[in-house]
Amino acid sequence: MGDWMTVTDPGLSSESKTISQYTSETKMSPSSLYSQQVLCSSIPLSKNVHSFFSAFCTEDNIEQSISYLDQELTTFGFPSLYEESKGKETKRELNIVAVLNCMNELLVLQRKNLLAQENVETQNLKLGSDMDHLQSCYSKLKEQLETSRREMIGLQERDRQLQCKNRNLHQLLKNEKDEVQKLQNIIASRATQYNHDMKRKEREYNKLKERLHQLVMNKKDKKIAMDILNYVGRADGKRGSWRTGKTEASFFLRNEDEMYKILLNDYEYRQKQILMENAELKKVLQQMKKEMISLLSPQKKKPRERVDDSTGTVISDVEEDAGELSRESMWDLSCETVREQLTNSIRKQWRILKSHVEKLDNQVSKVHLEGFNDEDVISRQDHEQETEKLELEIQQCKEMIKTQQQLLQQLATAYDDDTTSLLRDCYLLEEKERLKEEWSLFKEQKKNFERERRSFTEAAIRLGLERKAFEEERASWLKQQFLNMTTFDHQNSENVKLFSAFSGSSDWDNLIVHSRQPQKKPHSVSNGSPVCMSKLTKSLPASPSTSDFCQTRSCISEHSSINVLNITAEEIKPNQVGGECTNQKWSVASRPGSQEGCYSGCSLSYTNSHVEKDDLP
Amino acid sequence: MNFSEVFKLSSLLCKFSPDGKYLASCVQYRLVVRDVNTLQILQLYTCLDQIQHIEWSADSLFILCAMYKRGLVQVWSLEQPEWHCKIDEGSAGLVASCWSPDGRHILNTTEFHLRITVWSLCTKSVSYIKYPKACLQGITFTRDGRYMALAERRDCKDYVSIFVCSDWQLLRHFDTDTQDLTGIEWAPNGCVLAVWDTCLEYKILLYSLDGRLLSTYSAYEWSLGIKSVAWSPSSQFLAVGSYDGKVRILNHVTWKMITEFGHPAAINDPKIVVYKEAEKSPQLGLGCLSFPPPRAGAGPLPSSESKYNIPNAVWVWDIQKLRLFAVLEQLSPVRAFQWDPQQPRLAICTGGSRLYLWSPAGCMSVQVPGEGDFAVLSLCWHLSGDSMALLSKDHFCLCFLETEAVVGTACRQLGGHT
Repeated sequence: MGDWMTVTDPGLSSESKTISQYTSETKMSPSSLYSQQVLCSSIPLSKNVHSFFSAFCTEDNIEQSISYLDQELTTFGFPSLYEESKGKETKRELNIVAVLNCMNELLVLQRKNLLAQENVETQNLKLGSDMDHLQSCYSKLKEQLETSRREMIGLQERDRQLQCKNRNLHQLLKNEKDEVQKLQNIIASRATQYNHDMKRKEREYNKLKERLHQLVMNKKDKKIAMDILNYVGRADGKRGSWRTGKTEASFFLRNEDEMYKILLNDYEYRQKQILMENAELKKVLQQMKKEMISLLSPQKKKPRERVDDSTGTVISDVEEDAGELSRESMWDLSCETVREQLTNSIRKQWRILKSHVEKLDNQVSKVHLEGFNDEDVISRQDHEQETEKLELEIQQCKEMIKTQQQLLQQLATAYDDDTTSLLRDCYLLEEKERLKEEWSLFKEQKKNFERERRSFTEAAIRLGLERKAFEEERASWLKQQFLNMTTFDHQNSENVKLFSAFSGSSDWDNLIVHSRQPQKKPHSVSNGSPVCMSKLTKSLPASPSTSDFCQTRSCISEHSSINVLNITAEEIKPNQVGGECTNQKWSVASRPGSQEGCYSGCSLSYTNSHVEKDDLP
Repeated sequence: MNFSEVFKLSSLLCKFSPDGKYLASCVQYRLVVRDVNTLQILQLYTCLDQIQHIEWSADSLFILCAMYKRGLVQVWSLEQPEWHCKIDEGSAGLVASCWSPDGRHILNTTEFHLRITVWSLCTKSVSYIKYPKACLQGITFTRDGRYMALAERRDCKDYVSIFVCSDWQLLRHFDTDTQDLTGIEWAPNGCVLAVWDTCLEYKILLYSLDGRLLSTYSAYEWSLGIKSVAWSPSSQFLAVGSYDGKVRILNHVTWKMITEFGHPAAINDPKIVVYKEAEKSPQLGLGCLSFPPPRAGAGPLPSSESKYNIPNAVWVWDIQKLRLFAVLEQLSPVRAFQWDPQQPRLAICTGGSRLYLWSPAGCMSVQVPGEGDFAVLSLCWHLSGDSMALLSKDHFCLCFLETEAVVGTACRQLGGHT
């Protein structure tokens, strides 16, 4: 349509131009104007027509033509051309103004008509082209219609065929379904039949079995027998007992009892296990709760300021729970009473924790988004490098292992004997080294020992000196006493009595000493006491040396009661350790046999502990 | 690892005594009892015919030799070599013979499962139990030897009878809701009895000692069902292997399934160690095996459990973590495997001349020394777990495992692939 329009447009415009030219021409010529006025016709005028029209009015028929025109004009609704007559008889005069007005109006009319005519013509042209276009469209559509109609027919045909097929398939499906149903029925019937048959067969089989049983068992088969040399005792040592009718019931009851006992035991065991498990779980729960509370309570104080309803309630919950926790006994109650509370509180806590963690996660992700990318990349690179390094190491290690394995295998296969000898050598070397170590230890011990021995001999010498002094003192004292004896007789008798008492109970005293020794031990240690003393006390628990010691004591006491008196007196007073020590040294020195015992005790203490050995001077 | 010399053997009959002191083996119609440590022959008994079955009594004092063909059972005493006992089942025939847990009674099953005869070695008494069911595992004793459960079939219905072993009195008798009962098995604690149905239906029932039904479990319907059942030594778990190639573990509290172990064709988890046996000249075509009918068997260890699936592979699961632990792929089908009674160690034989040992630490294979090929068809551990008997078609030898540090030259570490 559009195309067509553009093509036809110039033509139209040229036409309209010619028309406008034409009209202007008509306007210009006065003769045409005249003719138009006269004729009042809408027929397009031409120059040659002008001469024809002039024939309408001639000199002769002016009057008639005027009247005719007047008539005509009045019938068309124009005012009359004549002046209005004042009387009937007077002849009407031609009104020039009216004529001119009429003419003007006629001209206007003419112009209008011309315009209308133009419009109509252009419309006519437009319509004609429209018509053409529509016709072409129409023909096209007709073609389309034709083709589509043909297509439709084809499709309809196919549809019909498909429907046909479908119907067939439906039929087939139905048939199949029927078949399936039939088969299922058959299967079911077969199954029932099979079951039935099976049962029948089994019954028959049972019958046969029964028959066979009767045949085989009831006919006293001589062959069915046990040939046994002698009956053996039962594993539990009991004698086999025959069941009689009376005992049967009791037997049964006993068996039942036992059975239930076993079952009960099992259930009890299981219950115990479950209880234990429960207790453990409760403990875990409790702990978890505690931890949760401790974790949540401090941080919840901050959000309170942010005016959060939920947290406010939460805090109160937390406090409540803390109160609950104090009631520890609650946990021992059965689960039912506590369960709801417990689960609720735990759930609440959990929710808080979860929200908190989520918050944290969000924060972390934010932080992560903001500025963590560079580091991340770097760390990844590091990772890769590290893994590469590690892989390399692994490879190396693997190779090492492989070579080692190979070597080992070679050694094992080819030089089996050599390896064993080598191994033995290795063992020997190890042993040697160990022995060396021991030897050095031993040497050190020996050195220490020597040192001690020296100190002992020194002590002995000192003792000897002291003894000499003592002897002298004693001699002087005896002398004095001897001198006094003559003067104070009764005093002397008392002294003798005292002596006898002491000498008589010397053994008993020694026993006391023995028993007190271990108690004294801490004393001597705390005092930072002389070495010999500590040494001796230490040696005392070792039985042989102590007994020796005791014996020496008793021997000494028999020798001279005064010595004993000194020793006992001093040993009862443990504060005078120094004096006591010298005394003991003295006793040791006096008996070589006991000295040996003492030494052995010392050596024992050596081996027992190394720390004390270091304390020695 | 040391190997003893090779001794003769027939029909794979070689058993350690329950106390671990003796080793009984059969050569045709002779029964040889050896000392486990010295391997010297202590006793030699001669039976009337070729021995088809031997069994030690629980107290290791007697050995039962069954000659099914002749319907005969001979019992020998270790303490008194001159003592003898012969049980003749006569025309009734004999298909199975076993000791009662007290070691003083023998249970003989006659042909066609007509009845079970209980012969006493202490008294003249003979008891009969009628209607025993002919099934895979119809008799089971509790571990303490107090009770016996027996599957029965009468009037086309399955029943289970529980007897008291001390006087063979019937304690409980109840029918089971099974189509065709296939096996029964006591839990090690002797309080729960597992009863499972025929392979046509997946159904396992659990009964209490007093005959109450505790629970029923069925994983699926309309397909081949249970293949094997095994209790864990703690009675805590019940492993059920089925024809869909899965092992399901039931717990002892609710008797519901805890977990399910499949046998995936490809193992992707890097934590699982897959041991592949590799020869020096690698044989290909081992990677992808079809799923032939799997034989299932669960191990007695608390920590792990194993099962064949592909007959070339042994799968070991960790029960503590409830996950697959290791897979051992062998070149040839696995003939037998057994757990060490003392520690998590598994011995496997594949009918070749190698013995395979697996433990969580690793896996190794040992060539059985000796001239000719010693095809290990079966094996059994000694009680102490430091020796085991390796059985071939007509020979056996003992393998002494010392400390793990001493590994002989014959040992070859298998390559571990992850």
